[in-house]
Amino acid sequence: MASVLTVDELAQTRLPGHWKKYYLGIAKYNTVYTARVNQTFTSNDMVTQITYDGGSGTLANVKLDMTMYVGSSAGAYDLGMCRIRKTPTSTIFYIGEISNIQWADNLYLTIVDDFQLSAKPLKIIDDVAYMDVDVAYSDQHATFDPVPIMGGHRVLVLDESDPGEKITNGTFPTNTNGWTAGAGVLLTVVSGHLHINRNGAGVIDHAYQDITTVIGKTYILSVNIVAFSHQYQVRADGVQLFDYAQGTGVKKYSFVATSTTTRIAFRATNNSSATLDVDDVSVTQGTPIVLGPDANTAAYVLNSTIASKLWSVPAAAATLNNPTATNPTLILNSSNAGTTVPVYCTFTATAGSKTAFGVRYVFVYDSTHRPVLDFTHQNKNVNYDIGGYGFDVEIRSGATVSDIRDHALCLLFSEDYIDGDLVQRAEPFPSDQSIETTGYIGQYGITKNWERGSALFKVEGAHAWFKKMQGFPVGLELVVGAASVWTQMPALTVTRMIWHYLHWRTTATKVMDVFLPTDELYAKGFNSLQKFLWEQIVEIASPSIFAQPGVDIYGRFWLEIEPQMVPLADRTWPVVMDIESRDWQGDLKWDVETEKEIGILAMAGTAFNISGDVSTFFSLSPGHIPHQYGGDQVVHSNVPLVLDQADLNSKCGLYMGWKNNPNKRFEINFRSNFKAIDLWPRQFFHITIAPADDPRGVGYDGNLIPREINYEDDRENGYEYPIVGFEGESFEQPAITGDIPINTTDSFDFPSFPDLDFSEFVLMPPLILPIPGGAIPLPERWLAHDGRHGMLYTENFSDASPTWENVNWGLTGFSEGEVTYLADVRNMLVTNTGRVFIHTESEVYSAPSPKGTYVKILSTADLEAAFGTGSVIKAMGYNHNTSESIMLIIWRNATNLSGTMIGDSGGFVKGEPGYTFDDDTGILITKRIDQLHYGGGNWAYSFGCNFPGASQRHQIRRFSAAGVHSDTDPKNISSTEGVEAEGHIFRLGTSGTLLMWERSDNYFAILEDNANGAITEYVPPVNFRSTHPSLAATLDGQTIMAHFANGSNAAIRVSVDGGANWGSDLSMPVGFFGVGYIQCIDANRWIVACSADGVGDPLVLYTEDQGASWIDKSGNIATLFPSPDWATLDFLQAVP
Amino acid sequence: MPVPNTWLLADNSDADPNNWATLQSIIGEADIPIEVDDSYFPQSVFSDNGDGSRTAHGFIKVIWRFKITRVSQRQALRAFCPGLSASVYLRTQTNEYDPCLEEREWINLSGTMLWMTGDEMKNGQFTEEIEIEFRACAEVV
Repeated sequence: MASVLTVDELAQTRLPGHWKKYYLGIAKYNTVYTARVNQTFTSNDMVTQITYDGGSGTLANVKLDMTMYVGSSAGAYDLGMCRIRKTPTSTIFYIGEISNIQWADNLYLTIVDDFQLSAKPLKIIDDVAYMDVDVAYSDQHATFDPVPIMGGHRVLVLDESDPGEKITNGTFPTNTNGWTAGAGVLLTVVSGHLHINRNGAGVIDHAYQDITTVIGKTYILSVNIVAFSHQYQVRADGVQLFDYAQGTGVKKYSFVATSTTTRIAFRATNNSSATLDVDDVSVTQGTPIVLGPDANTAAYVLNSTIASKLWSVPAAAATLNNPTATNPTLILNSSNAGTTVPVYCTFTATAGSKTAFGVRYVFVYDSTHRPVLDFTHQNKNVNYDIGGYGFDVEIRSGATVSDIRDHALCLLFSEDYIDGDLVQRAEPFPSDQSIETTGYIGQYGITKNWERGSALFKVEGAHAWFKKMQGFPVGLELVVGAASVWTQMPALTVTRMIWHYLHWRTTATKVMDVFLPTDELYAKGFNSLQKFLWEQIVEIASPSIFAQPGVDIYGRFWLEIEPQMVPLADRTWPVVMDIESRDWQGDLKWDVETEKEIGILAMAGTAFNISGDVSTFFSLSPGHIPHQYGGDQVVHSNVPLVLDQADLNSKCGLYMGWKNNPNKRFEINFRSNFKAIDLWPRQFFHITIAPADDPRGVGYDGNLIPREINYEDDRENGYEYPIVGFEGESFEQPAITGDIPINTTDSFDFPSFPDLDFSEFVLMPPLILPIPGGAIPLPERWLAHDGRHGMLYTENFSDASPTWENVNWGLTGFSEGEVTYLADVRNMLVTNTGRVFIHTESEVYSAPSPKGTYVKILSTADLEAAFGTGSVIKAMGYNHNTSESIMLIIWRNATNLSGTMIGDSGGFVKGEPGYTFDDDTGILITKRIDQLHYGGGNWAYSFGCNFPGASQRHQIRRFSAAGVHSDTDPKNISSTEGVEAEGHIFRLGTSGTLLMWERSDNYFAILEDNANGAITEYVPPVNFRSTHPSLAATLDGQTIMAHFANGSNAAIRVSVDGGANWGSDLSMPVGFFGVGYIQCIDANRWIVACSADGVGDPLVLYTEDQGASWIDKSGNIATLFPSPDWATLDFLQAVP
Repeated sequence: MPVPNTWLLADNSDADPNNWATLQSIIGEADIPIEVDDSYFPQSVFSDNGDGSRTAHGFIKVIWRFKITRVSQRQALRAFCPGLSASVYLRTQTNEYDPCLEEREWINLSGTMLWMTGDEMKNGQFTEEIEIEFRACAEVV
């Protein structure tokens, strides 16, 4: 979390004389291993492993997620880069799946210690998901990997106050000069090493040298322990640095000098005749730097605790003290100057001993190995909505591709001076070299002139790279009990979802600190269809818990709930400082909005328990009466997760307060360099403006939330100051429990999310909630289907004469005049996103929009492969609570088995593998009898079948959201069993209420709760003739328009009391012949698609007065029918 | 030994003012004490604050101007700044007056020496005007 400025920090900030020097550090990655490709390739597509030979280096040093260059010459990456995804063997590198490298035998492979932020693909093999190509699910969602929190990257400028080698004759080329033997000890040179023979001496310093040191300075002792006979100790100024337990080889340890003379000593121990051979003894000044997170952050693991941590650096790189501490100290010296030192830390969780490691870098410079100096930068800024920092940098020298690698980590840092002193500014990571921005080298432009030119790079924070990397579809569903596949997560929350996403689907948790909110709001499922990683995160987190991601100046990722949406009592983040008038310069500007943005806000929310049981709540703010001035009636377009009704009311009030906040923007020009401000993590500033001090006399006394920072930098004078855009803190407004929505054109329910797998990616649709008194606009776009001419579409239905057109792109089979279309279309669905699905007896087609091209997404072969030869599609339904979750009812006569398939435009998978109706001997395959609707947490399916010993019977069967048959008490669509001729159902929106009728049995009923609740039965007039599409109702079920018979002609009647009573036949216009499809807009507005009579043309009729009068919306439809012979408009759907 | 109150200049290798060279030794001529037309800016920019106060910001800036300089003198100065800029140490006088010493106060600085980019106005073996700016200066003790 952010920190409150201390008194001293505040006083220092308010001193005069602020200026800074800017530097640019660009990572220089170290080669870890090199090899050559040792195979040929038949395809460059989806390559996941490479056979190699000629390896050079230590293979064990190759770590997961390191970067491998692929080049036409040694060390080059001209052909591309890829990611090490699995521990290599002696002949195979396993890489993240990739298609953009032109592979060839003998290409050069160079593995460097660069861990890039990248997406990890998933792979579906035989319907089973694997992470990163081949990581199978075992228990990753039961016991979790830790999240490494290591702090940001660091810059270290070496202390060169005591330069040079301190040891005399540390390599022993010919003699032991400079070294003193302890009493009785023999020192000789053996094979170029110092051979120490204790020779019966006591426990003393057996070989030593006194060197000149500076008190308080840090030094690094490096020595090659060549051999020892028993044990040994290495000491500095009488203090043991290390001993025989460290074995042989090059060892580096540090010490802090306590005297101007320090004795470096070796002891051969544990036996009076012990010997010790050492070589390459060196002592040089070192510079310490403390690593690790700031005091306010720490590594964590979901559902467990961190058991231990172990920091490490490459063996030869540096010295690391206290490697198991949270904040170890790294000691670097001149051998590191000009390099980028990777620092690793492996964290171990208590539960399951799961481990995860992270990596950060230390950029090391000294007076001769300088960062980039010949540069200028501009446009350094950060914005809350954008999600992070960025700047442009023009580099005039040292900008070649070998100097600056594509996508290299880049640190803009500074030395800050205040009142003449180089100071350490208030920030989490203490250092005189202050990190200003962390980013990665992005796009660049090159300017060439007669002299030399320059390169202008765009440096962008991790947020921008998240936005550029295409993610693979992601989705998780809540599971009760243990997860068995990657797509399941127990106790699913946004935090768990994003953790899974960032840890398993990207390298984020390895390369940056990732902070997630404390979130106990369970969800049934999450998924995202967005293309890019950032948008996927936003789509999952923002609608559910009002959380937004952001990347701070240190490159740390924060997912935090919007501060304005946090209840007042929970706004526990710090007030960084009280901004006084002496802290800003120029003009202080702020806006005061007296008109409200929202008049009434309606919001729905869902609460899931850990088992996935759902409750739905509604809220209104401020109530039923809107604000007096300004503001429309607004329905919140997403359904957040809430704890209960009170929580939703709070969120509704908070949102209302936020959007109607009168103080949306303050602009403050701080007078000085100011590092204590960032947009993440959440933080307040406070300001008091007395009413007497502004010309309007309103003043302001409250907290401010930083939303945007632009830096005004004057390199001519070294002076930089931030211009900060703040938003005033807003507060919860009154909110009441809302009305249960009764909307007449659309509806919603929130009881369940569909079951998710990687073939089904479902968006939470924007929901349309009713606003008191709100009118529903007449949809302009309508898609119709005619049995003899295919698909018809208009986009200007409100025009007096709408223009219809044939839209059968991709559909073939039959032709009528110039129109080619697909015959035998049995149902047509339009989703919330405008995608169209149609099916025939055994095929499903889909188009992205009515005017798009249809593609067959389920073939007869697919169907028969799943359910056997002769399988047919009985019904197709759409879950309106999703973007395009489609269910199919499948039946196979040969086995008398029925099943279901769930899917979307990407294809279908089995939902219910097969069930048999106990007494079923055959289901009628009758077009338009079988209906399938989702709502109230269930699919309801109506069908007709023959039963042994009885005549035809029509029933309703119910299925779970996942498509599993769950009905143990099917409802007959009749009052008298066995006399049914044609039973149908109609669902009121996506509620659990069904209208059920049998058209020849004079039976009509209202079923509550998907036929599990109350049943209200009526006897309609004897000429009641409706099939399913020729009956429609308002969402409250009170107004119903239905197809009746009038002798041998069709008629239409209306009931305004839910089917208890029916009016007379409506007066229909000339040309009306048959009823194809009835659509309801609201109680007064209806559309009837009509059949042609063989002479006239098919009609589309529209009424705005419940059928008292009709408007012909057929438009040009006649011109599209060369021969109207019995054309039948049998489906009609509004298109969003 | 106190550091003499005169103009000193050194490269950035030695932070001890006692080791810095006097300008006299760099470009002076026998029996002709060097005098520098100099300017001292304790800050390079300021802010007008919300409470009506004014605060200095930016680095210390110093300008040394030399008129009618021999080529050899120019080259002696140029040695400290072969390019357009170089990190140096310098001692120069401030704007403040010490009534005890009856002279201006002197200050030791580290900073960046900028060689002039304008016309040096050559005149035979002389350069008519050299203006050297030191910026990004911080006091050293």
